[in-house]
Amino acid sequence: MKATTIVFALLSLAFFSSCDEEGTDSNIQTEMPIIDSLTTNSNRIQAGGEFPAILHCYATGGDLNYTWEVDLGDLFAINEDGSEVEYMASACCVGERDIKCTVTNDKGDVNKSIMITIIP
Amino acid sequence: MMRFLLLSLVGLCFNLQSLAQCCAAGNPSSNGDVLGIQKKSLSVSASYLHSYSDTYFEGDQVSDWDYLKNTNFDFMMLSFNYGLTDKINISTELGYFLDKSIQYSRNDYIRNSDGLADATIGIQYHLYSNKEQMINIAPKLKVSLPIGQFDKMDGIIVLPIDIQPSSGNYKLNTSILITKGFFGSKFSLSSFLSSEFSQRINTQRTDYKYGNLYNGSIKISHRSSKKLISSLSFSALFRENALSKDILMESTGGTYLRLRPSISYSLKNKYSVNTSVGIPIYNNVNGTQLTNKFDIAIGVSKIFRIISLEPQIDYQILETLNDRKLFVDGVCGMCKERIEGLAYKVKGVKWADWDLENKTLTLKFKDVLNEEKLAKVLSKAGHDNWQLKAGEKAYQNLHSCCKYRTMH
Repeated sequence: MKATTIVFALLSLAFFSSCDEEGTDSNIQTEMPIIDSLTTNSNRIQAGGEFPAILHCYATGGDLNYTWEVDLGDLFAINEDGSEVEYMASACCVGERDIKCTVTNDKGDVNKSIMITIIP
Repeated sequence: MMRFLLLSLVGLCFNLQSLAQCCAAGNPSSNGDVLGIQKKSLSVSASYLHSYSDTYFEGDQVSDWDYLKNTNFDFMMLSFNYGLTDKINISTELGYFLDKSIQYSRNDYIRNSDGLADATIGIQYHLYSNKEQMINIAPKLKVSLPIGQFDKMDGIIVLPIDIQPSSGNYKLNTSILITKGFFGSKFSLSSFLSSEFSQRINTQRTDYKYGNLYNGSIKISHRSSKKLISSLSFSALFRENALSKDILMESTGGTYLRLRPSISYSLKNKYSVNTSVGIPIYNNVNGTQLTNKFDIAIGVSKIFRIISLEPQIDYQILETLNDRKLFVDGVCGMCKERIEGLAYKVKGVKWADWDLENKTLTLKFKDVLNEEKLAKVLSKAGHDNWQLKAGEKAYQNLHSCCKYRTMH
């Protein structure tokens, strides 16, 4: 009986401890994300990948996740949080390409696009 | 109870296409350059295709452009082909990419995906068939449906359309197959013409239209034995330029010539396996593009009869019946179906089984077997037997694959 009581008490302690941790996580203050700017070092790049464009998304809102997409060409994440990417394209992608960055957190999502021209 | 009965050892030839993977990889699909199957028969085929591309072309010359090191894919396809009537076959194909990958030269990064690709549904109509001259003409209509994934991601990056498993659009494919047999069907020559029209992909991310694809092939096949068919096909393919946001994409499309040797072998356990290799012999691309180096396809197929010919039998009663083994000549599954079907029409026959290997028809019958009648019926249908030799006219009326006299 005594042992059962001790086990129950330990389990209860573990349970409430984990609740405390969750409570800590939920205390992270987040707001609806806002993209302040989406920038690139070059709006025109040559096909071939020798000199890729570097894109940076500046956003606020807390606990942000970034997603990048483009219709043609190739993007590569170059920093840890995903706010910075490299963009390059092959000869079959020549033309104006829209690169979209979507920023999300638990309050919602927002996106912004930037155009990069691929020249032959 | 519906009973599936194996009918024949027919090897189906898969001719999966794979061109360059450059912003327009799309999905491979079977050429459909095979004639459909018999009424109420179902052909089930599984095939695998590996394609590898690593050489850039500029026009018809090899280029030193090296944006991608290579691209390759491993693709599986499951196909069903059903003989709805004597003249109409319906088919469906389901594709799955085991791996679809590209490797970039600049950073050696490999980006890949896998998953459900496109599906197709098709209908083939036997417009003209002349048994004596061994000529068949069969047009086909096929629709490709983008049921697979088109939004797969690599971490935080949505994958480019090159390596999405689905092509992301509907496609309409029209084709016509003309075949002619020679020397008692030992050789056959077939011509296959097809056009594939792509619908525009119009999503929030992508506004793109693959160039339409036109294909003309000539294939010569040789039946070396009852079990082995070897073929060589020559294809000329022309793909139009793709359009992005209504603007013509310069480095897309081109003209390609391909050779494809293939063999099909009927196994003893009544499966058929086939393999082919796609070898590019000429590329003339628009602008600069990565082109296919080779592809290799392996397939296995089996044909099932949906409705059993023989009546439902009580096997205990069968044991009490008289039996007889008789020689009947034939060569294939279609012969088997015909011989057994005719045997069941003779009064008293309760069970019939024709053995392809030793050409023996085993019968179980009640009371007395009218052997004379059976021999007559079989010879009239074109089959030499223990009593009668079939007349030349009846023999010539047999389907091209049933010409057993040329096989001995």
